[in-house]
Amino acid sequence: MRPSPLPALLTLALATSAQAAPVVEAEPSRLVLGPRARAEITVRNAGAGLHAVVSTGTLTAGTSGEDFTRFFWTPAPEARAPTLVLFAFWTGESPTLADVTVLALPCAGRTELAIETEPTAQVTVEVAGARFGPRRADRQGRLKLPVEVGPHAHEARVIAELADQSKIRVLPLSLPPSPWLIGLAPESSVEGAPVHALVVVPDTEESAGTELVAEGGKVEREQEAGRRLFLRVTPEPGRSAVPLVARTLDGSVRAQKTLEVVRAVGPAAEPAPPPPPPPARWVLGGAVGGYVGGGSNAGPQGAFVVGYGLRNLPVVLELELGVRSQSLSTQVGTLGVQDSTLLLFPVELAVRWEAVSLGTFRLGVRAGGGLLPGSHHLSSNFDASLGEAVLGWEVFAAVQAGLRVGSVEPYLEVRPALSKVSTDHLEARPGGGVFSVGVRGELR
Amino acid sequence: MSRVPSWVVALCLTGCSGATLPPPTVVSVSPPDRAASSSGPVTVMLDAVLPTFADHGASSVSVDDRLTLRIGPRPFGPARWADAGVITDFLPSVLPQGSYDVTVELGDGRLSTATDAFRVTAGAWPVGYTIDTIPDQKSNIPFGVTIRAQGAPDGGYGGTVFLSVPGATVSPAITGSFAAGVRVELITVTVDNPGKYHLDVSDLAGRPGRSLDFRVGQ
Repeated sequence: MRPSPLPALLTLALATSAQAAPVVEAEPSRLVLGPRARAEITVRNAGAGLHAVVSTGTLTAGTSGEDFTRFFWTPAPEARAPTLVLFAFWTGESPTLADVTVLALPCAGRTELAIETEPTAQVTVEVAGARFGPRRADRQGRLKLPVEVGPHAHEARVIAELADQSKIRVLPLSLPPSPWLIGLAPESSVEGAPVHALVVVPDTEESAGTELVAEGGKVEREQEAGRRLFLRVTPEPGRSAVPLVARTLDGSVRAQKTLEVVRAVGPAAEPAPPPPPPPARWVLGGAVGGYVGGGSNAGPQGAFVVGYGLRNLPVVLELELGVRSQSLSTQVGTLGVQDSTLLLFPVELAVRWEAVSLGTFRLGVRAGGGLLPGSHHLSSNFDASLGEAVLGWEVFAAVQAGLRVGSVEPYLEVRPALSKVSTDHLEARPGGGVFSVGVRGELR
Repeated sequence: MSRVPSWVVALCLTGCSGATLPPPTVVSVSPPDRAASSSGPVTVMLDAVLPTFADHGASSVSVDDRLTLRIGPRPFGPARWADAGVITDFLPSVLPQGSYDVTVELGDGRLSTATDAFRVTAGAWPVGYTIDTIPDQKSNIPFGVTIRAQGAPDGGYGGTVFLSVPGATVSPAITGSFAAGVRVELITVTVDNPGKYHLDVSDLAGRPGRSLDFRVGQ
């Protein structure tokens, strides 16, 4: 005798309005666990952003059409115990219970009952309204009868018939509790933002109470309808994951899930197109060194250089503001010692051609000229001192070799220069060979 | 915006360079005054920038150290700059009473005058001079003579006298300072013809003295 059909267990679960909730149906509406067990779940009336959660087993997306989305559910390979599988579907990231459709799929376990009764009795077993048998016991009154036990079964009624007698025995069935469902909306917390946790307790649950415990998070109850709860889970600062445990009040764990805390990922920042380089470039630099022009035409020198050029041209127009110093001290007959000191502040214009650029190596050629204003000072130990302003001139050509290091360019310069400073009391050529070590960089 | 004329630039290039040297300065005269009948050293302190040219290419400096210094009409000191402009020279008693300018002139013509920087006061003169006997001498050979001031005021005469040998030349023309009324001077007499000569002395006030004749041979 086949067990009577179970009542339809497709639960369009909502106590409140399900108008916004998806419509879900399962085919078949009940299952017997085994290697080939599989259910097809069809979701209709779902908008974009459909979320699907299952309490056990694996839910995979199947084909989808314009007005439906299909999933396939398969139990865990080792699952044999009767269980009530819960599914929850909703759309959007901030659902309420009214937006959630819960489907319960009863999954029966197949087992073989070992029965001891009267010899040769005709035995029938009823489990949750389904009848198995009849089958006759052997002469010792033993038999084994395969039965299917659904998740709602609490007992098996064994009916033994012998001649005109009938005996009924009730065998209590102890079934493992069905797992609860935990769903998160959204599925992870962004930067510790609170998420909604949906907890659905199957109607097979016999223990009282429901609670959700978050290790490293704060749980607040938001909404409750029957055995369905919406809770608000807020991760503690600094947490990267928050384990969630749904359990009964006596501490029996029914479901576990981990809430991941993710860092906010901004929309992939499209690399900003590099700003077009300005058409002109400014170059700042400085150099120190010395010069040798014969006799006492020698001394230290330094310069500050400001350059301006077009970015697409290897030519830079430069203004050079420098300083040079030279002196002479000599015995004059029997009079005494005469000192002559010349201090100049060259102001020159030059054109620099960046002739060679190989890797970091740079070779440049310069040419220019300018004025050499300054002062000349005569002093001795036999007459009064004299200071006079001087103004000379210089023309030069130069070769520079440099290395580009990051945004700066150290360089060496050798400058043959023709220069002259002349007064009634002075004749000097503060040029000749000018040698410099410098560094420059472009302003960005 | 106004444009700088090119001639301004050219003028600057030529005129903005160099310096005009200042005139020399007579800083002090020491002593600043003296009696007309006395003689001795006088120090004139000068300040000046000598004409100097420094050639850095040749590492040399040339200095024009020519110097002309006068106290009144009388040349004073060396012809070259010396001793950092502190010029000391012997000034005989040749300036009459009065105030005298001190004038300095450098080799490049720069000139400066210190007006009335040296004052000569009235002198106290002897009544005359005697000259010790002079033995026979040879021309152009130095010899000493002793001149004695007669009737000098207290302390003796400290001035100088002019020397002359009629018919011959004598050097120096002015003696050094008398000390306590006596002066021993080394003189040189040059004659063209051997013969008898005598030495005449006189001071600024005209007090005379004359030696006995002495023979000067060749």
